[in-house]
Amino acid sequence: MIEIGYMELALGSLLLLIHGLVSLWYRVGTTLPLLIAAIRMVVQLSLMAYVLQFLFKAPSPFWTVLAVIVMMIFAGYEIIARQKRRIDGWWGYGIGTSSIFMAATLVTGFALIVQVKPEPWYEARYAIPLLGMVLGNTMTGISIGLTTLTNSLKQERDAVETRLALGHSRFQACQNVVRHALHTGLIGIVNSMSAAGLVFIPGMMTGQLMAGADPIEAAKYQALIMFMIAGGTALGTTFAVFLGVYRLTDDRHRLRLERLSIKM
Amino acid sequence: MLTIHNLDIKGISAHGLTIQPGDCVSLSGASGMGKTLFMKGIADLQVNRGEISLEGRGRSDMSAPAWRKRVTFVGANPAWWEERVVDHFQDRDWLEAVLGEFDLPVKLMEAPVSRLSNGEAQRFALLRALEGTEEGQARYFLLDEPTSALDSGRQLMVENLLNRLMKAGQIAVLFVSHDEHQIERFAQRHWQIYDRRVHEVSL
Repeated sequence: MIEIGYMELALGSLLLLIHGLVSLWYRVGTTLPLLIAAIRMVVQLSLMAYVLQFLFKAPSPFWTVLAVIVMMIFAGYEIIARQKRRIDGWWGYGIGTSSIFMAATLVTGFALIVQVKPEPWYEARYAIPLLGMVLGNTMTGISIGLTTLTNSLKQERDAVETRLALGHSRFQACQNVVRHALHTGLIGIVNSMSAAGLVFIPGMMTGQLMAGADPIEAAKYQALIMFMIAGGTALGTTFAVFLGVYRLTDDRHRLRLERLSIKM
Repeated sequence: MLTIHNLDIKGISAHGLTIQPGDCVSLSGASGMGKTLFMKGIADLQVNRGEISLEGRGRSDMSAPAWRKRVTFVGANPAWWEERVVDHFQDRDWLEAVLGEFDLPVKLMEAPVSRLSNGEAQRFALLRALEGTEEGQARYFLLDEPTSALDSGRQLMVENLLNRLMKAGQIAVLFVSHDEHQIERFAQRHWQIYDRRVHEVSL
């Protein structure tokens, strides 16, 4: 693999200037967030690289699992940080974190045990990247699903309350809202599977190709990853959206939108 | 019989009020006094405290959906969740048979909800709530300005149908109206909200 020098990488970051200029010129409001995100990205990737280096040298189930847990906590935090209308209190964090934990553990565990079968199973070279791919995509699905849920509950409040008034249960009354939230959360992976290989070569396959892997093997891995993402996103988003409905209604089948707070 | 032993919803209280099948009670009070809130409280759609019973059975002994099928609130602004009008009803034949009574053309059944005028929407919403009313199990309707978008002729049509169901002992009505003539003509008893409390009054 061709190694990139630090100077070359720094030159590459000049591309951010284009984004920054557009943002300044049209007052898009992404200039400062762009700067913070770029710095975060570089710092976080470097940290991850050091952690992986350590895990490769000293393989241990304890350290791998610890890394996994830290990644999941951050994923849970990112979900809530992206919500404009948040579910109040610990529920807000709990819904995102428990959904992503459940979905990512099941899907990654399944792939490690049944398909990839690394020896030992906690081999960080496989476990961490696979989990990372699933986490990133599931996080986006859950985050979009919850955003759509809270927005549509606000918008469709009268319709939901009318259904409740007519004697529909809380889950019946929220049926359309749930369908909309799930669709928005799940359509992303469908779209990216449709275009994969035809329009773009997905990240994981790209990496393997550059690292010198056989294209057929790389394609197989990529397909597996897509299956994992499809399953993980569906599990996590469904779980999160239903927990969201559960929390934003009560056992007397009333809408409780006062449990949402708006981030300024 | 629906009995409000005591009810407190956001500071509005009510004690010892009853409605029987066949009753028609008007609810009045200045704007912002909590008429809608009080009705939603009875239907258990808003968080409230208190004890209400239906034919001797406490509200908390019934599931909320079961309660609301018997004690049904109909809001002032109809809301819809499906594309077409007819999709909001369980029994299409029933709707077709009854909509003439409200002067609604049959072809509107298939129309998209967005095409309804305010008056048509209000009448369809009322029919939607009335669907499922049968003999033997009286229902209690809490109607928030049920005819506010209707001309006087159609107001009478709505009142006539409700009157007929009330005479048969199938329903009772508690309604909010700002039309004094309608209250005088339609209601038998009157409740009024003042001093943050619901009182039974004679007009």
